[in-house]
Amino acid sequence: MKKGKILVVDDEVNITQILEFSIGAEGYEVITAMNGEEAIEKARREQPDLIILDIMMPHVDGYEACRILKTNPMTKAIPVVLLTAKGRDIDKRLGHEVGAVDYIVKPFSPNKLIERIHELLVGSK
Amino acid sequence: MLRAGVETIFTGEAAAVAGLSLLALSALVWLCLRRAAGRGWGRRGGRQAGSSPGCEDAAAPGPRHGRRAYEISRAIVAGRKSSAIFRNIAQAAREETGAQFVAIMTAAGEGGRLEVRACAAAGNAEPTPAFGEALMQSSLEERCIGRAREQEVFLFDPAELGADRGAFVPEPFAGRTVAVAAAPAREGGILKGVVIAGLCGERLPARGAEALSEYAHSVLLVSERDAAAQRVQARERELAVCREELQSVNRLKSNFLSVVSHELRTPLTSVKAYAETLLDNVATIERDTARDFVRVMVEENDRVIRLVDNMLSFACMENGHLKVEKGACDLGALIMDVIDGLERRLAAGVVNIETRMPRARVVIEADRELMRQLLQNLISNAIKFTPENGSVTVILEQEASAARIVVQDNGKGIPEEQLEKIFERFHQVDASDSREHGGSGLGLAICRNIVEWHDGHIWVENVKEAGARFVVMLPMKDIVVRQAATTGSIGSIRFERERYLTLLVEMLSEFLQARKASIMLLDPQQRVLRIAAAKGLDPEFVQNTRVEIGERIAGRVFLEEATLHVFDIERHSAVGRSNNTAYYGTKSFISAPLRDGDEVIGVLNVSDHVENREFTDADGEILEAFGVMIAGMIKKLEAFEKVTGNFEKLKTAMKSILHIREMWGSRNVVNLTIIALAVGRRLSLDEKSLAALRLGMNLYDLGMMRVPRSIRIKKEELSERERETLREHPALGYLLASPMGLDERVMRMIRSHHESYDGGGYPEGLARDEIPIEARIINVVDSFRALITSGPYRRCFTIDEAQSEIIRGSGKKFDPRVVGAFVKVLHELEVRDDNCELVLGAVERELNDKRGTGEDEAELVCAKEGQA
Repeated sequence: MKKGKILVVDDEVNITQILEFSIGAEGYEVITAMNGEEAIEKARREQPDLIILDIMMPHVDGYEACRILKTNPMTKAIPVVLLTAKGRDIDKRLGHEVGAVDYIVKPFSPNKLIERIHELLVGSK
Repeated sequence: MLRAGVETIFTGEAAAVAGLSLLALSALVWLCLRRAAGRGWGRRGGRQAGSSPGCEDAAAPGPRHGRRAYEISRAIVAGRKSSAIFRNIAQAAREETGAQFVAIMTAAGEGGRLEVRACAAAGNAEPTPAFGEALMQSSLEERCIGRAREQEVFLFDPAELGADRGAFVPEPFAGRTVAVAAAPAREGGILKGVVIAGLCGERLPARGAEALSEYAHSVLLVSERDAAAQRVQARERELAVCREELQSVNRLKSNFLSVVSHELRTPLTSVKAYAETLLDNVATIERDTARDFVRVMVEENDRVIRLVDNMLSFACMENGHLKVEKGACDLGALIMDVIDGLERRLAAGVVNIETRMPRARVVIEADRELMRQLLQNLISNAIKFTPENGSVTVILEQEASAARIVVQDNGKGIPEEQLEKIFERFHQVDASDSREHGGSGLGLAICRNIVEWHDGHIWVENVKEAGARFVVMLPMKDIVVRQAATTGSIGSIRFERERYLTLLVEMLSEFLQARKASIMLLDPQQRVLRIAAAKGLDPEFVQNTRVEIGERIAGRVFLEEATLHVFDIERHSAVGRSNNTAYYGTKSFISAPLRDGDEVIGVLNVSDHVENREFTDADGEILEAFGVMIAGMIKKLEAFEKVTGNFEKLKTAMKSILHIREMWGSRNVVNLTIIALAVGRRLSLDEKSLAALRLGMNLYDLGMMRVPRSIRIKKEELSERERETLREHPALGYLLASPMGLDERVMRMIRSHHESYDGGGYPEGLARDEIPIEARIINVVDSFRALITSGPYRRCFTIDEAQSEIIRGSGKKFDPRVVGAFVKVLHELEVRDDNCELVLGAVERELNDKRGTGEDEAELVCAKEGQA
């Protein structure tokens, strides 16, 4: 029995791969997307329990994707964790404004990310 | 008797110093005396005084003078326009002295000629500009103003005016003026201006001398105030430019920080995530998975290294601390080397790399490591933008005097509007690109820097439906720069010097079409001339040549500080065959001194015209002008070497000079230069101004380079917008030239040569003597040039028609004095339609008539040479 379904969105294949491996090793089901459009589409179809979303992506970036997710009744309840190389305060504020529950700055520790995932999923249930 | 009168005035002044009461007393006595005497003269000299409306009695100076003087002072302090204040001063002085006319003159610039700024005349007669002209041309100038330099107030008596009063005082006052008084405005012994009064009587009225002297002081205040204001304005303009630069640097900086932060964090994130995961699972992880993890870590680590490398070398390039070690560099071998490295890293197969190389080796003088970085950036960039199974083509070719490298990818190409911008630092085709393809936006900026440091060109073009093609041209140079034997370290500073000397030599040979050109500089320790840089000469010769001062050609040019122009060396008595003629391939050469102010720092030489013909007088003029400009630049360079600072601007400016030729047949400029200089001489410009004018004539249209070619050559009427763009060129030229370290006079010629005498010109709307005299001359000469060449939407004028047109503009667009001198010069130099030798425009006109359209200058020059 899987603990929950997590959608990981990043245009860097290396990142989605390692998260798929490490989060998967903790017993979660991991699905991945490479850009904003794909993320919105998969979130709607797969109804994950949590979304890990990179900000700097081509075309639809993470902020925009998050905003769209939060305006759609089908996806607005899914918690979103922003994952980004941008670490300035203004970026964090912007993240909260578009409705993200948390903001993790790259480079990050996979263990810490997993801890955060645990907390969020237990807390929401 | 009159002399006695003047002395009395001065006695009055001395009294003023001695004590107020005495002054009041003597003034009162004087006033009574003068009143009585004045009337007496009026009757005696009856002819003018009684009948003339201008010879009313002077108003009582006392309290009214005080009031007027106070108002004038207030006007000065309040910042009123100088022309208005001068008018008031003239008016007041005339009323108080009862003069026929009062003229205010001020010196233009430091030690400049006096020019009439305002006149007040009898009755309501408004003095015309022609009056000012006449005043300047009358013998008044030498005799009256000359002496005014020495004394407080100078007064001419009727006897001295004598029979040539008519020549002395301009119409319409000649007949009526009995005496003339002049009060100088001096500052530290230098004459800054003068107040001149043409008197109806033989002497000044009571306290008239004091009044004149006081007004002269006001004139001085106004000109000092204006000079100060001009300095402030210049400073403000500089500040505005600085501020603009700072702002754009700031924008770039924040952009850079966010891009770099992202670019660094992304690979570091991977490394950290993979390493941590590997560590956590080290016991259980499968061997293959572990190997994959480590491979990702290595790749991402390389990415960080590349980025840091790029950033470091970019920083070095930008602040001039790049270390460059030039040596023979085999481009073909280097390309293969780079591709090998990239293929290994890219795990091969995804993109196919094709190469096309010539059989012979292509070797250039370059820094091997920089070349490697250039190729690496270009090829990995191409791979990045090529889809899977696409191909990248790398071509190396050797051209006549350059190596050509082409790197072509298979991607979607670059949007047309971005082709230029792509080499700017931090630029990416679209913001999301960095995510799609990675990169900090520094790679291509670095490429351009590397190429430019090797004096090459890089550009990009789109290949229809086949991606983008980057082309690099690297010159295979025949320019040699002598290595200073004492310099052991290979660093940026010496390299900079080398670059500039190279550019300067290139410029010389380019402008004068000489196959051989050299710059010789004085070695101050050994007091010999050595070749600093040369084109077309043997490196060993460059390294070892030493010329004693006074010896051989260069040594003599240096000593005598005069250009030596030899048309045929065999027939030239002073040079003769014995003189190292092996040096010269052709029989004609020019040597000119490198003159910076009063100091000669070296010699310029050109020989071997590319068309194997003689150098013309015009070429001599150009070389001489370059002597001044290059000396200035070398001085600037020396200063730069002391404080290695921002050299970007200097670099840009120097490169830009090379392009002037694009618009100007250099001969065309020179022939007009002869005219401009003759006009300047006629107007008694001093030698410094003439030298500046000569240089200015070569540079004044510098800004036109930045006007799009489509506008420059457009035959139809320009749109409002296009006209506006065109009108920006003087200001643009000023900006371009500002880092060159030119004389301020030259700078002002570049900026102000489109100002109109009546204030209707651009860019600043200056009028009359606010416009530097040299710029007024250029305005006339340039308009003449425009008229006799085909215009955008009109035919060419004949010389006569053009001359009439210029005369028509006198007093409006043009300074009447300049127009007068110009017309005389045209006559003197026999500039006629049938005299093509002097005026190239005539040749151009002929060509245009034959072909119906204007052709480019190259053809004109050829046609001209065919005639010569």
